[in-house]
Amino acid sequence: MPRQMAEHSIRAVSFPIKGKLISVITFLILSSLSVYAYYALDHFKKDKSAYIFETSLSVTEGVSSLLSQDLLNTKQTMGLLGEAVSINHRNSELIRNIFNANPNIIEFSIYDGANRELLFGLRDKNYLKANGLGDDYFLNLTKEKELPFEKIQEKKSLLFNPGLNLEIPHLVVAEFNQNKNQFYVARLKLSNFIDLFNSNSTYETFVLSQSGEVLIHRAMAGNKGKLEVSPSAYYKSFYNESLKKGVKEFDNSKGQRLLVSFEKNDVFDLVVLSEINKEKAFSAADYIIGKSIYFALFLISFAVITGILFSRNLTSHVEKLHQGIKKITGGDFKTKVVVNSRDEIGALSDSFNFMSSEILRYMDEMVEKIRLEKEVEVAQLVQSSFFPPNDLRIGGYDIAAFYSPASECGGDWWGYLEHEGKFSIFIADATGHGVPAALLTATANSSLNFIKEILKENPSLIERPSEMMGMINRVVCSTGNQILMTFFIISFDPINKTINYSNASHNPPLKVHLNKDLIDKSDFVPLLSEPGPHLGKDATAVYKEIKEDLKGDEEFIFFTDGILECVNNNNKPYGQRRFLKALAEGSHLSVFESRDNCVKKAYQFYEDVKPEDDITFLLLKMSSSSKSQYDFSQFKASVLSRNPKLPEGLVKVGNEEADVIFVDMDQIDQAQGIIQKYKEKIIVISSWSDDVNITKILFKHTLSHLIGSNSDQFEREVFDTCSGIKDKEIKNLSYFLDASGRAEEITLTNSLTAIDEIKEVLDKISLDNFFDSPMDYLESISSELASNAIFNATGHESTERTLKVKLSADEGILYKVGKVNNNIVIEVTDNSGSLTLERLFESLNRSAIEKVPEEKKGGAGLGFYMIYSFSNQVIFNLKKDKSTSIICVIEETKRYKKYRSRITSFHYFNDLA
Amino acid sequence: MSGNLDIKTKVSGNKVVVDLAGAIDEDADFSKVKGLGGMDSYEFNFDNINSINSCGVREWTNFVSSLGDQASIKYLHCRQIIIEQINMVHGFIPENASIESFYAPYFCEDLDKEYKILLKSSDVIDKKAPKVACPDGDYEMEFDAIEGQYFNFIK
Repeated sequence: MPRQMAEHSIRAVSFPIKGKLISVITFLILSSLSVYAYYALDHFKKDKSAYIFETSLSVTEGVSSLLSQDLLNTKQTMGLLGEAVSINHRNSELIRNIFNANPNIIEFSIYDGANRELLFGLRDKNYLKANGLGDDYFLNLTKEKELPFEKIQEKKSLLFNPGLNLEIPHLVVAEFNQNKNQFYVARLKLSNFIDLFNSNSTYETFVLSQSGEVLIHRAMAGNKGKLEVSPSAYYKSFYNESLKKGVKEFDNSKGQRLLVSFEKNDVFDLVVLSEINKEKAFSAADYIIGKSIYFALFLISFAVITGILFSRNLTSHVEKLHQGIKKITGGDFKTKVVVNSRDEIGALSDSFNFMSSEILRYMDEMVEKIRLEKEVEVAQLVQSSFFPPNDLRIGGYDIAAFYSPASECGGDWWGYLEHEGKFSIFIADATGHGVPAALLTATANSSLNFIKEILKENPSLIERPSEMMGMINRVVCSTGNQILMTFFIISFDPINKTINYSNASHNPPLKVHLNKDLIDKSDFVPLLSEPGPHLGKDATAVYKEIKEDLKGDEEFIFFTDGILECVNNNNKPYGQRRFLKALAEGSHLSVFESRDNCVKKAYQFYEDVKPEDDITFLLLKMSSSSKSQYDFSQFKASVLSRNPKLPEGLVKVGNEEADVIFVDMDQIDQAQGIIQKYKEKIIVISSWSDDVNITKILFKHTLSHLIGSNSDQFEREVFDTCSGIKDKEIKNLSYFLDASGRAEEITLTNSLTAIDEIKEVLDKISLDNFFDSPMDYLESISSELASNAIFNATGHESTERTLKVKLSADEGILYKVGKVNNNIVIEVTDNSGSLTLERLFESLNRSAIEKVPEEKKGGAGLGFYMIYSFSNQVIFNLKKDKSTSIICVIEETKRYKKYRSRITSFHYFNDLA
Repeated sequence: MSGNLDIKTKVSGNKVVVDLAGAIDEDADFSKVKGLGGMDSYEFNFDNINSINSCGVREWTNFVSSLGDQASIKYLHCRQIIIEQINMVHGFIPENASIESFYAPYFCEDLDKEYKILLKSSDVIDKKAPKVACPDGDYEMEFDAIEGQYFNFIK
């Protein structure tokens, strides 16, 4: 199929479904996972923070608890030692045992509350010795660093660090016993507390005094109590805390965020702090969060990739469909889309493939349909050649036909045969219509041509329609076709005035005698005969025929049933009554006009309903010219009644005494003797063509008068011709002019200006009621007439027509043009009177036969022929050696067809005896 | 007799398009086209020819035969008067020439008026006139000439 489909623009895919799906899936996964991750991690972080804070606080509480326990133990030991000392004095074994029971105590001493003097002292000599110190180390130390007795007395219990850089880092627990007014002082090993703090190395643990002094810190171990990490001032803030314990965050001097837990010890007025770098504290959580983020990213990436793969998998099928559709719009209808998925896309691809295969199938059907349509067109063309022209004239009869198939090809057919003045009309109607019926008409047409060949050997066959019917029937039967055919054959014998007809179940044709003014429907009678079977039904069928006389005034109507049975919008058939009425209306018209009237009436009735059957009908009646031959007496009476001046002597061929003898063209060869004897009296009525009239009648018999049988002014022509014959001349143009007519007249003397002068005159003539282009023909006729007259007038026939010829005023050519009886008449008159009939006919005959211009000096030899062809009447008036007038007439008609189909009348008058 | 034939030529490749206007008569001078002899193709447009006489026919047949029998010759927009000559005179259209388009008379019975319709030769099948609707109405017009006679030039 040629790619003739309308231009189909497919928009560019700027945001494919795949992209949309990936975007949506990615967005959903990203957003959901992000939200989830955010809330999960946030929750985890808070939970972890709480845990870390709680752990931190637990560490602090633990340390604080142990410290409190140790201090309380120490305090209890101090109380016991104080009591023991007061009871047993200084050397009691009990005191030693109590002292040794608490290994944290390095030294225990009792001071008098009033004078602060040492009352009792006991020390771990082994410990001192192990540290390279003497027994008096603490006595000396006390002298160097006096104990804060006022503060101890104020606080009742006090824990403090006696100083840094001491040989033995230790803590001092002091208590004021108000009852005894004594101060109990115990020095405790710092290392034991540090060991306590070392139990948890994750936290930096401090014990601070009220003044913010660091009492215990892990860094003091092995460093003689020197604290390299100096506590910040912020530690003091803990004393301002209303809470007893808690966790706070601080930034240290290094800009690090610290997490600090604390617990206050009201007994010793202490604060236990545990600090940890927040980053470190949260390192595990951060690590987990980090990993979680990575994992979330991994999950997102995995989900996105999965989404992309899924989208690609999903959209690849859509993409395949899209590509498939693009190929189809590009004309590739054989494309298939393979999608193996068992989802809607898979089902859609199946539908797509089905659609493309259906399109292909449809296209194949279309191609086949187009091929068939073309074949039908060809068949229609071929079938049209089976039919003769719609306008015919055979054997003196006019035949007007109409054929309209219901579809491209029809089952109606008609034809004719003509042989030796006799002719037969055939009309047929195959059952149904369309191609099958049309094929049968081909058989009928072939049979006709076959019969035509037989007629050459057996001419009388044309008189035996039943025999021809039998022959065609056998041919139709031999086709083996189931389609039957009605058939009617009628043979006309105009010579013997008979008709023979045979009918094979066809609609009986109609006949009407046109012998009265008013024709009625009842005047139409059918040509009835015993109907034979349809053609194609029985090869052995014998058909009968009926013979009737031919009066000459009949009109015959042959038709198929289509025109009667086709219906209008009300499903009403046209019917015979309306058909007969239309025929009656046209009975006074020519068959051509009557046919057109019948067609018009029928189709007006059908309105816009397309006829469902083939319509065929023929009208046949004798042409008017033939009629004149057959009933010339009637014609004569008619003429005489209207023209009393008509000369006497209008008789048929054979009356040698007549002044004027009319001869029908068909009998001209049989009238040789009369023609030779009475040439100037002979008027031939001819329905032959101009060329035949020139060559076969006028030239051959050197006749002077021929009247076209289809002249509308037949009677007037006859009258004028008869008058002319009698007077030996026809009257000139002025004779023709009626009261309303007038002629324009000029004298032509110059060959170069003649045509322009003629045009000026012609422009003055009214061409109303004429066909569209009479001026073209008037100019041609005038040009030829004037040219011939000017060059021939003074013997310039052989002069080159391009040369200028100037005539004297006396030699001038008289050119007249005017309207006569509404006809346009041109008359050109020279002063030579030299144009003989023989010379004229030679020119006409040569032109009619050769139809080529002459290669000689002077004219082309076609001038008279063109004048003859373009005129409806040509009249030559010769006055020997005086003048030659040529009168050309174009008759009034609006129809070019009528103008050109008018058989030219010719008349040659001379004043010779 | 008038010598007022106007000839305009247009050469396109090996093709000559000739526009004719006025009268073809004994004074018709085709030397302008003859000077372009040897071309493969000639197209003659007769749309503006208003008359032709017998001597003009002779001038034309001589001229067109001088173009040789190898060239492709086409007649376009042949007016009725030209069709008359083509049908009447042998040689007006040589063997190697064809009529591409021509005017044909149609009659509208409804308007009682004749129209000259430009047809292509290919429109005429089996010498039968194509159906033509009236340019001033919807009615189908009748071909206003004898088909066999008017289309005689179509072989």
